[in-house]
Formats: sequence, C-alpha cells, structure tokens
Amino acid sequence: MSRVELRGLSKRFGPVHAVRDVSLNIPDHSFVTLLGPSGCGKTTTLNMTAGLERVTQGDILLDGVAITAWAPHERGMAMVFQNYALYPHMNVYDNMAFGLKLRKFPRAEIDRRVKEAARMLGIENLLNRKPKELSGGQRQRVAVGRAIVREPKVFLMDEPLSNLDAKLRVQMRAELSKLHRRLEATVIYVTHDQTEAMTMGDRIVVMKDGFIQQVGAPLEVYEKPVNVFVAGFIGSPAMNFMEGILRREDGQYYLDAPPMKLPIPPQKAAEYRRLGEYIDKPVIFGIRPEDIDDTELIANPNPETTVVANIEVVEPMGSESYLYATVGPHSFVARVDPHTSARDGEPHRVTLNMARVHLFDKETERRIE
Amino acid sequence: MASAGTWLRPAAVYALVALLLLWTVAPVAWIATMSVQPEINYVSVPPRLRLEQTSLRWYAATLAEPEFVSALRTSAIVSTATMLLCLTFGALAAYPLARLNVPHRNLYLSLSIVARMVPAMILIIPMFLLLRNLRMLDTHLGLIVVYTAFLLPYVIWMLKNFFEQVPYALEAAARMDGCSRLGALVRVIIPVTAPGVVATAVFAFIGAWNEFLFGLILSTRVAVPVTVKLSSLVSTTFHSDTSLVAAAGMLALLPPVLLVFVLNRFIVRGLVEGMKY
Repeated sequence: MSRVELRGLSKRFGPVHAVRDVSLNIPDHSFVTLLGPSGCGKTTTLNMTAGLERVTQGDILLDGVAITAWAPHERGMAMVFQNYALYPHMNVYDNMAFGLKLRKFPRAEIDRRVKEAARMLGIENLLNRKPKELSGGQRQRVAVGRAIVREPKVFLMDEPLSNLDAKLRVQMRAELSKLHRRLEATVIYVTHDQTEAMTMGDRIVVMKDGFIQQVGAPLEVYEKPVNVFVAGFIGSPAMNFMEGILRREDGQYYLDAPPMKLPIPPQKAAEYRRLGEYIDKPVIFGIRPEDIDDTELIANPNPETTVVANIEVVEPMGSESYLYATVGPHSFVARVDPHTSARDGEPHRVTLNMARVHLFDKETERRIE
Repeated sequence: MASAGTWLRPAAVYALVALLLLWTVAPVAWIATMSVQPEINYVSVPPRLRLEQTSLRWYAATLAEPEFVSALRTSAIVSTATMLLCLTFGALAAYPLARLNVPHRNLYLSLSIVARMVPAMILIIPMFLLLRNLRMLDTHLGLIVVYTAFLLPYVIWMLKNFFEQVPYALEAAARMDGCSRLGALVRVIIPVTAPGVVATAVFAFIGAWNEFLFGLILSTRVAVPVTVKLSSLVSTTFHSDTSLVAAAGMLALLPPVLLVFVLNRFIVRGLVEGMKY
C-alpha cells in the first residue's frame, strides 16, 4: 500500500514561486506523470515529495501519514535521475547494493535482490563494471535497478529517459511500463515529453508556472483540455489555434473566421453549456492536425467545412504527411494520408472536422464550459 | 618563414621549461651533491667533485643527532595532525558553502581569506600571548592549532571548489539511498572528489611542514619543527661542516617529496584534469 497525497504544496526560492498550491491524490499502484515545460515546477514537486527539497507550505502524506518533515531516507521512496547519478567510485553491484547496505540488510538478502533486479533488467554481466564503462542505456538500467532493489513504496522518476537516444527511449519507455505492471508499484514520473506522459501514465498532471493546469487520464486530457496551454502542450504536432467570432444563425452556431465560416455541429455545440454567452464574441478555436483532412482522400467531405488552403510546406513522414498551410490570416498544420497530392506553394482543398473542434474563451484562454 | 615558425614555437616552449626546471631543481641538486661530498670539494673554486669520495656518512651523522631526529618527528606529527584537522574542518565547512543555501556565504568566504592577508609578523605577538595564556607554547598541540588556523581558509576554498563540481543528483541519490547529509559527504562526495581532496591534503601537509616563523617563535625546546632546527644547526651544532647541514636539509625535504611522489597520480588529476562523472 502506498498512496501519496499532496496538500496545498508550495515552494518558494527567494522571490521565485516555483510551486504554487499543488494538491494531488496519487492512488496506490498508479503511474502518474507530471508533465510540463521546463521551469513549470514539476521537478521541484518531485523533489519535495522525495524530501530533497524543503516544503515552503503544505503537506505530503504517505498512506495517510504526514511525512512533510521526514528525511529522504525515512520515506521509503526511491528515485531515478535524469543523468542517472550512479556513484562513479563504485561498480554496478555496489551501486545497486549501496542503499541496502546502509539499511544493514543481511548480505545474502542484498545479493539475492541485486541479482534478481540485474536479471530482470538484463545487466547481470555488467555487475563488476564501473559506471564510466557503461553506455547510456546500460547506466539507465543500473539506475532503475538501484531503485528496484530497495523495493520502495514509491518510485520517483525525474526525466529518466531524456538523456537516451530516440530509439532507446522508445524501448525503455515500454520496459518501464512493463516494470510498473510487474512491480505493482506507485510511480511518480516527471517529464517534459508529452509522448512519454501519454503512453506511460494512468494519469497526467499538466503543470505550468508552478500551478497544476489539469489532472486526468491521458485520453481525457487529450480530448478535453481545460485550457489553451494544455491543448497546445499535449499532442504532436500541436493543436492549431485560430481566432474567430462565434455567431448563431437560425439556431446553428458558426465560427466566423474570414475567409472561413465554419458551422459547429449541433451535437458538438451541445457539449458547451455556456456557449450562448459567447455569441458575437471573439473565441479561440482549436483543431488538431489529424482533424484536418485532405479533401481528395476522404469519403463525403462536408462542403461547408472545406476550404482552399495555401500549402506552404509538405512534410512527408512516411506513414503520414504534415501540411503546413494558411487560409487568409490563419495558419495551421494538417496531418494527412501520405498519398496526398498537395504540393509546396500550391493551393489545396482541406476539410476541417468541426465535430472535433475545441472552443476556448479568448480572455481567459480556458475551455468554454 | 612558416616552416621556421613551426619548430620555433615548441623549441621556445621547451627552452622555457628547461630554464624553469633549472631554476627550481638546480639548488636542490646542488644541496644533494653537497650532502654526499666533503666540504672542501665544493667550496673550492672551481668546485672539484670526486665520485670516489661520495659518502652517506653525513646522513648517518645527522640521524645520530637526537635533537634533529626529534625535530623531524615533531614536524611529522604536527604536519600530519594539521593535515587531518584541515581536511576534517575544511570538508565540514566547504560542504555547506558549496551546497547549502548559507546566508552571507560570500562574506564568510571573503572573511576567511582576509585573515590570511594580514602579514604573519603582525599576528605573531598576539599568537604568542594567546598560546602562553593557554599554556600551549612549545607544544605540538600549539603548533597544530596555529597551523590549522592559518591553512584552513585555503583548504576550505579548495574543497569548496571540488565539492561544487559534484552533480547535485549524485548527492540526492545518496540521500535517497539512506545517507544523511554528513553520510552523503563522507560516503559519496569525498570519495568522488578524491583526487581533489588528496591534492588539498598534500597542500596542507606541505604548508605545515615548511612553516618556519611560527615554529621559531612559539617553540623553544620540546616541539621544535625541523625547519627551525635546520636554521639553528647552521649556526650551532654543525657549524663546522656544511655537508652535515646539506644532509639535514635533504632529510627535511624527503617527507613532502615522498608524499607528492606517492600521491602524484591523484594530485595531477585533482589539479589539472578536473573531475569527471
């Protein structure tokens, strides 16, 4: 059992407010990712949870017990660091055994745990090596192994994959997910990479400027971002944002964004309870790249939401192509089938899937309720 | 001209290095020569060194002198103790200055070094009175305390710079693994900065070993360091034979040279290469 609860957590470094009033419930066995750009307070939040950073205000509870003032080693948590932080003067075995030795575990038990973790991670043949003799991926495994042998209540991971090359990162991502299922541990995982957050976490906590922006399951955050920041941060390529005036004619909502006039399907409009308050007011509307199609390549394109766009650049990715396009003052990216006939610098017809549009208040940048 | 330039540069560098070596090594080499030759051979002009007259008897005579051996022992004890104290207190002071959010940190650092800018001559009388009142004149402890006080600021500065190079995560990892801050310092930070710590230790040892002025004033009979004894030998016991003085000088030189020789690998890494993690 290891449930972590953060209550009104704040951290100030002199005049800088790094974390502000963060409250979060992390259930047992869950994999929670703290996601945000650098400087958003995610690592500081993690360090406070670990006990490495003193809390300015608020409380941290582990299984209902306040541990805010406890030293790091009293909390029963283990941490994996971005730059691995292996002890350079010890070999792999001693790196992994260090925490257990300090806790005065019997030798045989230390040996059993280290070897078991090494087997799990496929680093049995490296136990006698020094960290400097290992590749980045191997170091990462040792760092994870060092955490595993402790059998901690909570794993804390601070961007553990960001120093690996792209291929290895994808591989380790899957391995960490597997490991989480196997160990049934609670994991708090800090990353700035939205793909990691989407693929690994049961829950994503999006942070910005020290504040939590949104907490939710990956798809929930993707489908219903609470504000422009979250909408733009999650998803790659990022969501397209355009400005327009919300109109209502004959009971039908439109987005008036000259030269486009885009009808909002009634079932979509019904999702926004307070949409009526925004009639004739400017709004921000967001549409994801995959919700803009190449008109030629889809069946029954809606002529009302089809526009002629100026294609600036076509980026073929192999499995798909990105069209960087403009319509009047608006610019956007469309993710389309690679067989598109769109060419750089030529006009091309694209269709916006308005059933998947996101509407935001222009003033507050929050999702319209 | 270009081809001339390509060999001229390294040649000039080597010439300079040779000159520097001559400058530093020649006097020592000359004393070493003097210590194994009868005086008459090298005081004559020009010197006439005779290989067949080379002998270690002046070393034997020096080591047979109880006062000199006692001075060597005093220097060894005082220097070793000073080195250990400097490392202990230095590490304990350098760690918070390098790692913790100590208020007025720069003020402490500046103040510690300002104390060393006062000429030793000015401090010698207050030091004498202080030690006399504490009944520590002419004791090993008295010298150790004074030497430590004078070397500590340098040691703190050096160690602070080495500690600062240790990545924060390394220490954080140690603390997560179960170390207190002190434990992380002893078990991880110091081992990881070993080359720097060793270089600092050697620096402190040599600093204490070579000290003369305080030893001269604060010690009279019991705790006379070898530097002071050497100077008195010149004017008293060995006045008749310069070879004896040279042999004594060589013996006084030996411990720090041996220390540097043994720890050379560490020192060079600590001073030149910097740390790699």
